[in-house]
Amino acid sequence: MEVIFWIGIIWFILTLYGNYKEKQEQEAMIKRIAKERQDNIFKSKVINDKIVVEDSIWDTFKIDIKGIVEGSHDNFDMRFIVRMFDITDGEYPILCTLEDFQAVDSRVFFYESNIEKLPYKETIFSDWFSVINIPKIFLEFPKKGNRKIQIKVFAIDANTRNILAEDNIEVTYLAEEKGYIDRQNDTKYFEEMVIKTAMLVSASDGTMDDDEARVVKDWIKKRLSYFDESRQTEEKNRLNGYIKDIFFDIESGDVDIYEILEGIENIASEGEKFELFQLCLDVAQADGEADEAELKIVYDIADYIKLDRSQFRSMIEKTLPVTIHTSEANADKLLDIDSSMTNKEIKKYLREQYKKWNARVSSKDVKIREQAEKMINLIAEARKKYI
Amino acid sequence: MSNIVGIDLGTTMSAIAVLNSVGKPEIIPNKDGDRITPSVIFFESDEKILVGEEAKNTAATDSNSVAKEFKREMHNEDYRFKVNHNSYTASELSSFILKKLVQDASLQVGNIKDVVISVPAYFKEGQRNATMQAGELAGLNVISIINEPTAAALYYASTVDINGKGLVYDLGGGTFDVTVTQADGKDIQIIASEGDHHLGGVDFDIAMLELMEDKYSKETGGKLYSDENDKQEFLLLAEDLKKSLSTRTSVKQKLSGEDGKITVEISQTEFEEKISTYISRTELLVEQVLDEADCEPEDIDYILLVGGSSRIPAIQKSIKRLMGKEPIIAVNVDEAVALGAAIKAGLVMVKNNPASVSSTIAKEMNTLNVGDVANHSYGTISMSYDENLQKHISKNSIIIKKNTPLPAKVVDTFYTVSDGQSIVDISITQGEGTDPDFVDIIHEEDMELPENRPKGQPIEFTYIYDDNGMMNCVFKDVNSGISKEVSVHLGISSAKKNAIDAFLVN
Repeated sequence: MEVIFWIGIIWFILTLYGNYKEKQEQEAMIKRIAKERQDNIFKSKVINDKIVVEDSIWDTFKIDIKGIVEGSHDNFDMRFIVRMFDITDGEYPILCTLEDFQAVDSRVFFYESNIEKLPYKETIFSDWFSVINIPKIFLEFPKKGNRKIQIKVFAIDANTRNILAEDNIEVTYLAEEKGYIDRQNDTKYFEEMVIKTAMLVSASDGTMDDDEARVVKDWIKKRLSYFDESRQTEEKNRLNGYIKDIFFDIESGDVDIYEILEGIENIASEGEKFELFQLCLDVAQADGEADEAELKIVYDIADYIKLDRSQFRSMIEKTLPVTIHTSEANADKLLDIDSSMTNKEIKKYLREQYKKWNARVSSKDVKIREQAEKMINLIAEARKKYI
Repeated sequence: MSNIVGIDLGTTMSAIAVLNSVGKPEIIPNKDGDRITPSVIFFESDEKILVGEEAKNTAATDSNSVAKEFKREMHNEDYRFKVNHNSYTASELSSFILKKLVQDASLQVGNIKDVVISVPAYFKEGQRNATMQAGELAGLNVISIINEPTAAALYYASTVDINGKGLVYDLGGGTFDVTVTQADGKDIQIIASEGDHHLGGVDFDIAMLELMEDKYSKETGGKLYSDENDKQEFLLLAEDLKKSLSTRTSVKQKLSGEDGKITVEISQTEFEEKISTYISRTELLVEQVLDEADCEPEDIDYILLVGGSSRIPAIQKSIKRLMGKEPIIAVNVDEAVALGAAIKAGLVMVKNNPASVSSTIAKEMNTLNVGDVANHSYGTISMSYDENLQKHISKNSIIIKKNTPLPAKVVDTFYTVSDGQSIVDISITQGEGTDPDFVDIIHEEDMELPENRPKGQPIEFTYIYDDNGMMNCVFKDVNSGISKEVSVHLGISSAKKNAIDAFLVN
């Protein structure tokens, strides 16, 4: 009886010990797994890298990941997603000019990888795995200067699109080009300059008539058509505001074209400068006549904004032909004869001009024919003067 | 044998010439015995129309019923001369001149049907067609047209022994042409040709009239005239004074204006000063054509004068100053073009219908040869990226350059500009420069392409311009082999166009 008792005691103790050991082992395993997860937590890094494309070397953001990705079963389909934000002063999307790296119907940067097959339910990327190498040249930041970039990397279930793992990293980047917010601001400033300059051209002959107003109005309408309907009222009020401002400034004589055009070099592209100049020309010719004051202001504008000479001449010839000038033609100005030119240069230049205009005298368009006739006479007069 | 006839349809004067039995061209005087006929029409009534000297002399009595200088309107499709209850196009008016020339000539040489008509070298497709149409309206078969300077060079070559590089200086009543030629005996090759649309004797007449007005007004304080009929009368007087100053240093003339009669003296120097801008224009044109012929004045061996206005001393001085040598005046400058056109008619007849030409004429014609050039550039409208405007713009891309020797064949390749582009606009342009606003589109249509192809598909443009004035353009999509062929008839009569079109396979 006593023996049975002690056997029972020993069994009980052994059982307790066994349970204790099993629990200890389980705890150790849990700790080990937890440590392993901790050691292999999903993380990402950004490397400033380069890639060679044909003859070019592009700077890139190379984004790598490592660590564990846990699916719902072995042989599991997943994808990587990468998004980028500028968090320097608020959170703004970063845009991309490459279609492959754009969100649907948007220019916002968005990358989604092809399907990756995970062999196990829990797969550990023990070495750094490259997700994407983004050429920086294709990225558009909101503003110029030092930018703080947040890059978000996600591993998602390819079927349910549930997030399986994610990580954020931050890097700094010096954006040397103007950003899209800079350009939006520039565009507003450009629109203000265009409207105000066109109004000044309109007022240069002492009156602002309906034909000239129509030209400016049409330009504004065209700009408004670029906006969503929801924004059109707000934008219309902004653009109309410029008209009111300059109208009263002109009335009070408190306006300087050079002040208006100040800074255009920094904000307007060549194409925008030509757009501004074309509108001014359209305003000047709106009533079918270009008087001396209008001609002076358009030439001043062209000088100030430093338009390409040949393009400028072509625009003048088309929009303000000599046939609509009301003042006596200033041959040197119309022909663009520079006082620094030698007689030999003038002779060569006049020959080129003559060739150009003589080819137009039998144009089907009567306006071009008349213009060509007048220009040829001006060229002949200039030849007499200089040769 | 039919008569072989050439006509110089001039702005102020016209002339007609025929090849004689030995193949030499001769002017046929009109029924009044004049070798040249003024290109003037007087519409006395709907039924009675006077043409020539009679019309010119009547101009002052009713200037509204007189049509003149309409050759300058050949390019103007909207031009209409309205008189009595009718209105006439420039072609219709020209047809009256042609009829008069041919009717008068027929009285002397018999029936005239096939003719060659001369046109200024700068005339474009529309103007050449209008001239052809005038011939057809006059009941003529226009077998060819010839550029005026080419005709003059051909005549000079047939009569004067010329060799080397020559400059044909053709200053007529309303137009001015300059051509550089290379002659080897009777073999003439045109190198470059240029023209000024609105420069000639009538401009000098107006300048002389202004001089008369200035003198009259300065002396009397009044106006020389205020009525259009009086103006026409003074213009005739101005023309006479201009001619007088070609041989005299000054002329005295009584002017009877609104404030009485006075006598004015006009010197050659004053007249030269008055027309100095026009002379400057002639010099610009000469320099241009030399430039296009890639030669300097010293490279020119001889200068041939053509056209009545080339008699003006200031013009001859200008030529000598510019070219460093005296021009040749070996023939009658008023007749050289008509005579050359008759030779051209002979060349065409020998080539196209040798049975209608006597063996003597054929033999004479076979000693002559003339090679012409494209008088304008031919191209197409294409798209290209403008770095300044930062956008795609359309431009005129020249395929056959002006002054390219004929026949010519040039192939150029263009590329589609957008993905999936299924249509390409094929246009044929005539004119200089890259700006499409300043060239004429002489043909335009769409060509369908296969769909769903990326941009950059090559389209081959082949322009073939033969020496008969036919331009064949083939537009071929290289990858699919799809092609379209367009024939442009440059300076060919509508009857001939229709006959050719009937055979062409599209």
